[in-house]
Amino acid sequence: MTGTPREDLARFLRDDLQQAADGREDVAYEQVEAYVDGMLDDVDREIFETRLADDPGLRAMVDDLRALRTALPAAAAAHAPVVAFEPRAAVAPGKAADRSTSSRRWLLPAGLAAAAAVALLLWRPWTPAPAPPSQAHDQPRPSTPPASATPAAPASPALALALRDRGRTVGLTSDGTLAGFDGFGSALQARLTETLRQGRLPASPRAAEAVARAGELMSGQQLASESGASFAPVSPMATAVSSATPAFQWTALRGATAYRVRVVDDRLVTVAVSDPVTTLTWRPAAPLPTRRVLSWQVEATTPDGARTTPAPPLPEARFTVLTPSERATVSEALTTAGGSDLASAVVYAEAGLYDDANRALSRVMDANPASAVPGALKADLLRRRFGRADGR
Amino acid sequence: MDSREDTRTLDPLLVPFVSAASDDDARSLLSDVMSRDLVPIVRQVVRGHAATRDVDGAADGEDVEHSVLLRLTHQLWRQRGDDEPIANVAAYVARTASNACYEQLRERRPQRARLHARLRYVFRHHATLALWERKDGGWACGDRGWRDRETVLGWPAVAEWRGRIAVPDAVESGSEAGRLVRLTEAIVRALGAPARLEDVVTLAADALGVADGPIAPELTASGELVTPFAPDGLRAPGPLADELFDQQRFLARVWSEIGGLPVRQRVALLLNLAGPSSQDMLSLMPATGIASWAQIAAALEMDADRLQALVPGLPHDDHTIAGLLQVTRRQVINLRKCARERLARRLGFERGARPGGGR
Repeated sequence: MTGTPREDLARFLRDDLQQAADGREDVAYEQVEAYVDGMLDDVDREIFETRLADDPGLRAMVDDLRALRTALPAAAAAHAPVVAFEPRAAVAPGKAADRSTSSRRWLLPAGLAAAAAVALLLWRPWTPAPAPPSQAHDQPRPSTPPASATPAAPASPALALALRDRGRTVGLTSDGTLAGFDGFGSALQARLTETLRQGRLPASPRAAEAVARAGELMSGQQLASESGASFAPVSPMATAVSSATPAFQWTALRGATAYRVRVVDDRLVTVAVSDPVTTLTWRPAAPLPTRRVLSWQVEATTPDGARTTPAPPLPEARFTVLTPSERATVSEALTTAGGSDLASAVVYAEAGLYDDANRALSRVMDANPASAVPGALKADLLRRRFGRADGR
Repeated sequence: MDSREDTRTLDPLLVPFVSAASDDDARSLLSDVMSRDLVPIVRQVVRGHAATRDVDGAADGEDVEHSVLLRLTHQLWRQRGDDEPIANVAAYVARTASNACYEQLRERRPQRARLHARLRYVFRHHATLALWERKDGGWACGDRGWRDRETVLGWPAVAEWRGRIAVPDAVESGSEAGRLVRLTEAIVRALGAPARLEDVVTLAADALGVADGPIAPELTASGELVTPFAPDGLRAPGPLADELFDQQRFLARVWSEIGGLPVRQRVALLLNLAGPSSQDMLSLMPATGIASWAQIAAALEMDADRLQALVPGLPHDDHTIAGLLQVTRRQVINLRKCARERLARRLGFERGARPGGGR
């Protein structure tokens, strides 16, 4: 600063604004989508709208996506799935064999993965019986679950699909009507019907980014074992969490003397970092931000140096934290679920609380050991989160 | 420039550069990191992105690479200043490169970029369709049930459907958006297997007759031929030549544009207006007659007494401003960054232009 105040100020502002122009970050598609889907907090929304005001092209894109957002639910409701479900046995064995040779083992226990894979082989989504009543008792219904799907369910001739759920028998009748959930809200009943018909829990827009963007920047399909993946994150991953101070868990690395966890937001800014710990779990002292896709890594200190997981080319361990109002909504919905594990799984999945949904499904599985249905639901959930039905 | 004292959350790759005692050492270290570790990442992302490929599939990404590397140099250099530490520089670089490619697509082929975004949204939100990442970093799309499949159709197999997929009627589909959804479903149904998103975009563009016309160079007032890659509106009217030399008018225009910012951005910007040696620059505004303290208080939407209490501490750090705005420190940084970028746009500053906003 060597000139007059006016010269100094003008020079400073010109330099500063040129730097701002040089360092301007481009608008990512994900930002546009998050804006359209209402996933930005008020500050990010303000920032996006500031850019929007100067960019007609961006405004056109936002308008496009908003129109699609309006059109899509109608499209989904009005149209059958684009591709009919194939008989699982026709496609799954090869896949199962491929997976059995895979050495990536850090996402899920192998036993659970195997159960889920077997379930996929056995169960197909329910579809209404197509035959007229006069033929219905004489002809097989290829699209209904095979008999092996529900052999252990209590005798219930009216139910084409039956499950034990906290002492009750629930399921679908032969015409696709939900049974055993009397007194539940109509919205929850509709989602339960859809879940049992499709063999798929509701998707959660809330956790979509934590799941869909996992590995976006890295080669997420690479196997953890390629880099010696005994040391790996366990949870949270590809899910929403209800606690703003969730417990982070990871597996041990032989020889490690301490671990340090770092949580970053979607701009790679550190939002929490632990002191060195000697346990395999850590919980942040301060609440983590909500409405953001967060990711985390754990760094192990060893005599040979530091080692971090997950690291490229593995996918990032992403998650998102529910807001207090979202948590309240979940609590309220669980009240209407009346203690049903299946209904709870639906509520959790809808909120993106996939770990909780998975645990609820495990309870359904325990209550129905011979049924393929809960296993298939778990397999679909795993595939949705990690891209593979066995979680590997 | 002072080196950063606390590099605990910084990516280890950047620590030597950020901690370098002199700027000369830092430049050398940054150059090493860029060429050894970061250029390959940029190259991989850029060369795999559709934005840098022409219709025939030939790579044409050198200018994008160059642009990304230039921008990264600026961004990483700020790590020696107050910018939030980058914890994972590889991911940061990949994201920057990917965003730049997408921006390039928007600029060079806006119609295709628009269709690309719309199809991506359909695949990500449709009840039975899906979009997933492939091993090579590209995107595959199709029915949700296909997500386990590791192979995708090659372009020849997709191209066989060119001209053979009927475009649904817009009226029957309920809207243009509905028509695109129907068309996407029809394409997936026809293909019967996963395909690259880019190939599906090409097929859809073909069916809908979407094409970007050649971009004609424009002759500027100064007789320079300029290819207008930027979308309409991004290039705001720049300062007139005489304004560049008229500090008073330039400063008045800056102040006028500051008044057009949302109030949180005004606060984040003005209360942290710090010169190269962290000196207070806001106080120069009343001193030069650009804006009085009363006008500044009005811009900050606070009374004069409150502003006067803040003046001795100028420029204020982000924690203090975060407290005033009831937002996080990171949000303060983002608000200020957004404000500076908007001012730069509105005042005609462009990437890579010579200092002063000239073009």
